[in-house]
Amino acid sequence: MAFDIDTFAETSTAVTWGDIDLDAFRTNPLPETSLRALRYMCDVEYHTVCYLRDMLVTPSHGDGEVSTFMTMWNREEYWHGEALAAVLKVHGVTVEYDQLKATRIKLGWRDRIDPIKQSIYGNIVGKDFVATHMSWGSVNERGAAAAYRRLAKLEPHPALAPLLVRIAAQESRHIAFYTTQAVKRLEESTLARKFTRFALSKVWGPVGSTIEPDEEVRFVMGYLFDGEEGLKEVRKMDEAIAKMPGMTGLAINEKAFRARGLYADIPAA
Amino acid sequence: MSTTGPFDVSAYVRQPFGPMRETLTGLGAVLPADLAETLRYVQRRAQGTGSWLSHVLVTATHKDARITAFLSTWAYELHWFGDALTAIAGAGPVPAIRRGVAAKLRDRFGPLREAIVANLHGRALTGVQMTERLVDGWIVDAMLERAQHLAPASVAADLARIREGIARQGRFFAESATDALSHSRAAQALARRRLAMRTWPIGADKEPADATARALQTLFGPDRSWAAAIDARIDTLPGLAGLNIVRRTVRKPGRRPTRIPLRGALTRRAARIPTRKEAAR
Repeated sequence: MAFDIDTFAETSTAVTWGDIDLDAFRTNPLPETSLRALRYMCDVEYHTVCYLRDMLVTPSHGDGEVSTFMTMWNREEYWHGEALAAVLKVHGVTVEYDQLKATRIKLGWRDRIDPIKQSIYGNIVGKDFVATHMSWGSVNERGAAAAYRRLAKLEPHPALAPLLVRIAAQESRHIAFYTTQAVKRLEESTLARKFTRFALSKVWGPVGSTIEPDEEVRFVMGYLFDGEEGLKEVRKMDEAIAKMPGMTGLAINEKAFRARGLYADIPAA
Repeated sequence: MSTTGPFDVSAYVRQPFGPMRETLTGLGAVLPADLAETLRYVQRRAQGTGSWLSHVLVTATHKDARITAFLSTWAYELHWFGDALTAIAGAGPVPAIRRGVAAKLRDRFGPLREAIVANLHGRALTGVQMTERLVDGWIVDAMLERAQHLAPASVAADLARIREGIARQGRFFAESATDALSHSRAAQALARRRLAMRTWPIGADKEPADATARALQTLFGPDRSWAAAIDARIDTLPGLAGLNIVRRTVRKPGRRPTRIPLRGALTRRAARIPTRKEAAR
């Protein structure tokens, strides 16, 4: 089904949590493990503007639909960060502008190099790079939505689960846009398929792995996706990715998670 | 949201201007063709923020979470201001531009160049970017104000709402620009150079020069007092006296200024801006 960008833009809203009783956390707080996962997710959501930057230096920003989507998407993700920050705040964990700034400064040279790298790739591959960008976005949004759904399942707190479900619902709309765009563009170009396959299989890493210490990535991915149940979710994501043109046989999520020590006792498919 | 005291970004992001179509009073009003074309010109500026953002977010500015929070909402608002203008003015042809090799290279490698150059300028560049948007907001506001006088009352009321939004955004840019310029002579020098080298309003270089010329002619005719008034406002910004960039835009609309070595220093001298030593004395 075609994705209607106008409807998406008109219905794009900041996620709300005013009707959720966050005070419930005061009497029934979340365990340390869930808070750690939430902090990771919060950082990633707030960091979206930096992902937006990496995309804006590619030919993607010249496309009207993509540009409209990115404007709405960036704002929705910002509000996911705000919502998660509100939950963390009740637990005494504050996430403020100055802290986010300090985190971004700490990323150092890698953060400076990223847009330069993206721009070089974009200039080498040209318009076809938009397909890679869309595919990359599809994979990441799928990962984010799955993570929220898993956390809601693992931590069915009456004040947390509804919020996570709302965030996951918005992420699902993002998946729809990215995937529709990716499929269309991958179908149209051999170069796009080859370059995207190369980028996903050789460069891609789980959401947040470029901004969080590896220790945090291992912890959060293990917390959310370890075990038979987690692997089932991960394989579902990989199956969806493998359905995109030219991506047959890719199992990038499982590969990335196994590389981080997950599923050691479960044989690979 | 309070209009006094420091700009409250948290309050701003909570109450943005969103979709306006359902509340527009001027929908269906008949506009003169040249005014409709001019409003479409302003709409393209409002919805063409991606290119500017691509140059801004590759610099140290993206590390400042307060600024990026603001810019996320600012881009969202401009999208909807543009959408409202499309609804009012109707769809029309987008002027085609034949971009030469130099312009194509600028489009393609501009953000890459900026990402590299930004590492040399550091925080001074943030002040420049905030100043650029402040000045651009003044120009667009002047255009919309004049359009209000030329449009039927129902459309004028819609334009007034858009201007209200632009004025609110302007308070953030004014505060950030003034703060950066007053604390850094490097920011002042860079701002002088960059503002003088730009085509105004921002994004005008993505269109044929004729499109900007027609828009300004439709709105202002031979009147140049609006340009002088904005130049006078720019003169009040720390270290930016004597640039006269809006009057230049009126003289040569849509044209990219010629690169003149030491332009910043020369105009600074002509404007009698004291040097660091003189200021200290």
